[in-house]
Amino acid sequence: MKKALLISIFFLTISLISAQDLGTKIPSNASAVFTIKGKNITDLVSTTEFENSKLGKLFLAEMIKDTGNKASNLASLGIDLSQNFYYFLQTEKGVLAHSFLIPLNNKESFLNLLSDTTKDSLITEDNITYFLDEFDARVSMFNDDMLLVLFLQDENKYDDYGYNYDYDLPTEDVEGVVEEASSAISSGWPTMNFEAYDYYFDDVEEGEKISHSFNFTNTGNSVLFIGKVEATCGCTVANFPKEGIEPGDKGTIDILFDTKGLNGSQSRTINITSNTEYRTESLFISGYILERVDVAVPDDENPAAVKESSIEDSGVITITETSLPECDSYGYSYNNDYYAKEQEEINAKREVRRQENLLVAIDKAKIIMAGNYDDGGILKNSNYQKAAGNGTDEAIFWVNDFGTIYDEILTTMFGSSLGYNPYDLFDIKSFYGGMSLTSKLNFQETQATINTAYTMNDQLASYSQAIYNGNLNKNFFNYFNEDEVQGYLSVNMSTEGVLKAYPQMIESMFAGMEKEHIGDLVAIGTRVASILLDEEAIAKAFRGDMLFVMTGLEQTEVNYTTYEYDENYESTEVTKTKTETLPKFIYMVTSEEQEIFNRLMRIGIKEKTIVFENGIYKLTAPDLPFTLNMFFKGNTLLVGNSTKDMMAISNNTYKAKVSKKHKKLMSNNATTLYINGKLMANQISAEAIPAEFKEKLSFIKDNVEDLVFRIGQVKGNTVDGEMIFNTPTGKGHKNSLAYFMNMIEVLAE
Amino acid sequence: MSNYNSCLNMFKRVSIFSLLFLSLTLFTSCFEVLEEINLNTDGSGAIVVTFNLSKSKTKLASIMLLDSINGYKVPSKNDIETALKEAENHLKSMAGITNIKKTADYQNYIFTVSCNFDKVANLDAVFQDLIRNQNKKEKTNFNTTNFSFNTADFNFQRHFSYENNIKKTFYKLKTEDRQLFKDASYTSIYRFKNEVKNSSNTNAKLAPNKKAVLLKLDIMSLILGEKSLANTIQLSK
Repeated sequence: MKKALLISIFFLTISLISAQDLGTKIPSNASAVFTIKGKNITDLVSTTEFENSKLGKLFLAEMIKDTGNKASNLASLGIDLSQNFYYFLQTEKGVLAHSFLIPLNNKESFLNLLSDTTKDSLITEDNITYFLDEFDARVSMFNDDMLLVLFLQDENKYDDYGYNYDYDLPTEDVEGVVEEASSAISSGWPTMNFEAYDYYFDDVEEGEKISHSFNFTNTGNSVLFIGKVEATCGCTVANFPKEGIEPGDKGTIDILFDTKGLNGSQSRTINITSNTEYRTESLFISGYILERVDVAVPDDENPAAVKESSIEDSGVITITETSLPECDSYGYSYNNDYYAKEQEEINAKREVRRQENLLVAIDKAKIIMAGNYDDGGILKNSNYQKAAGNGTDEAIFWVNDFGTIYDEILTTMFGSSLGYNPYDLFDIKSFYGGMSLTSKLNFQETQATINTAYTMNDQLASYSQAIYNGNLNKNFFNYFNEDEVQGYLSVNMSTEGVLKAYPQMIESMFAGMEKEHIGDLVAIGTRVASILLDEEAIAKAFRGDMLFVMTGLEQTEVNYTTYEYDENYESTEVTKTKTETLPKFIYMVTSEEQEIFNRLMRIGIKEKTIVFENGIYKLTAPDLPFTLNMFFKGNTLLVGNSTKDMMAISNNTYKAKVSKKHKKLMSNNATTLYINGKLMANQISAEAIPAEFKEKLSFIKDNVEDLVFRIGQVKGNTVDGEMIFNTPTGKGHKNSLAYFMNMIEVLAE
Repeated sequence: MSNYNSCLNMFKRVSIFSLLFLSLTLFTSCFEVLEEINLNTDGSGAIVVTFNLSKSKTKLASIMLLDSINGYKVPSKNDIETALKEAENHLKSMAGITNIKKTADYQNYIFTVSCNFDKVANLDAVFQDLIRNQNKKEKTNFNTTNFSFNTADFNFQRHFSYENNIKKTFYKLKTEDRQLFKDASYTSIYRFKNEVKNSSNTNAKLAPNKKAVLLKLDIMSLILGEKSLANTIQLSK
């Protein structure tokens, strides 16, 4: 008996080990985790059922194409569909590591899918095998139980020169360049040390050409390359070294300055671009140019000067305006070799970084494959445990802390080369810090739901409460008839809360920022704004709660023009009427500013676009397909396109009906969207749709229930959102996942 | 005033929102095209072409609020005005065409273009170049002559030969777009000073005073080539 117990425990342990959840491989510092619970899905729809469905067939066809006929069904992928699949994100110094964990039945099937070249490149160490994709630092590592695909996304900028270029590999031998570049970086910068940085020439007569050589020595520790020498107007660069200059060696930059058309005191700058630490060096040339004595004859070679001169009666030329001649002698000189080399260096640096990243990726992957975490990994992280729970959800998405992610990414995304990170201005960590999100997808028997909980820090929660915890006007329910509601959208915000919270939010966003006293400036600005805005007065006009209701269909008489012909076939225009089905709606807004509304309406009446009839303002604009009826009732502005309904509301004879369910949905949420799919589908008249679609319509009519999408009010520090897609019972759908597949089956015909 | 306009815009947006749900399948769409010619004995006369979309005005008003529908750009008022202006300019460039008029009624969506012509040949020339270009561009084979009048034997002809391309193009349209033509009609009325001896189109009707011929066809039968606009009308001298 004891032996039997021992044996069964042994087998139980074995089976537990072999079906070890891959979640144990996730480190506790993962910033986001997405889980797909294989078993929960295959329990709802088996792999065979999936493979035989339309969707499954499409999927298999794609798979067969993608794998070159190697995989013909799900089993041949070697993936264990009854286990959990994971994706998780790790962030570190601007490098995002994305990992996908896929449970395997056996590695042979997976190996079989690989191409021959990949198979040849496989690396096996101990009990793990992997192959690399060097370009995106991607590692695919597997053993008998799992496949891990990990790749790094590097958000850091490494092009120290601020250049952007393609991800091309250098044409030359990569390793050589890498070596050269790395040694250049390690050994330090070259230095351009000039004997003199300026040259002052003696007085010359206009038209003379001045030449000068600037001598320099490379006193730095690495080879100097000059890329470009630019000179301002009138100067030309005669010559500069195109080859590399070794440390300790000398070089010369020859400048030619043409003084034609110039006079008086002149100075020019020569800019040199090179691979020194500061990238540019400047040289100066200056002196005084005397006017030529024999200037009586116009200079044909300089038509620009003639243009600006006027010949007076005496025949003497007077320069009316001293200006620089057209800069056709503006000098640049490029060293193409330099730029090719620079490009190579940048590429090489990237290559170094890429190689480094690949090594990091391999190391990370090995750690994940081993999954030996001292702290027990993410499954022991209490935040995650609490968020993920142990429900029947099919998929869970969890983000640990937005503050950390934003901080990691945004601060490194703007490279040091720009020297300016706009996000430096925001206090990201304190603003978004402590914010987490959990979203769960659950296919139940008669409904599919997505539940999302969003937790904020205290500060943001208090602002959100002010903004989103408005009170829905109870009067709205008097104009709501549940029996004919096709759908509605309720919004429950507080205008006063918005106007009060926004300035505070902005202030705290910039708080503690010393940069140019932005924090103070922002605070002053927002306070001025809140003094100028009278929150209460604005909230009076527009409290922030509203309800838009689709109230079904209404038959209305519509006029149209056609022609009648007398016995001589002379035509006359006649107006006839036809009935048309119009969708009706009522729009309700809480407002206490009836006076402003009435004034607006009076303008409308003057403009002849509005008619006042039985206490209702009617707007008929030629480009509106219906008449809008508007009036105030108590604290509610009502707008609707059904004259009948609006009259009834105005006369207090409107038949209102609202169940507790909808009262709660509207009152207790920041916003709710409800669509009564069944009622809507049933109101679509079969005549209005193409014959081919009639069968599908009747299927929809039979198989559509309602849909609720709501975002809750802020409770504590949490906002919960929910999407509920109800599915019908007794229509042969095993569960809501099967329902969606059945829908696709029919509708994709 | 700007407040008033912004309110109006808000209501418009609300109505678009509500309309998008249902209206586009609810509202029926149909239109009629009218081609009326009054011919004098000397071969001069007047023509009025009318596009009457008023039966679809609710749908059009809804569509006009959108930028595009079913992947087609919705023409704006400006686009329509430009098209009408182009038609007018084209007419102005033709010899023997006078008294050109156009009307556009955006409340009821009725558009007309009319003119007088010195000779039927002048009227025919209006379309000839357009059709020739169309034939060249789309490799179609539409007849380039639409109207002719023999002043010697008082014989008026409306030419029309079916082009197979019409059907092809039609079936290229999506099913829901084809619905547009389902209830559409094409009416031609030719009025004369003299009595009509006979007209060749069996679908055409002769007025009791014998001086006018009316032919009303549903556009679908024209598109599918089941019926024709072609008619040879012999007038008495």
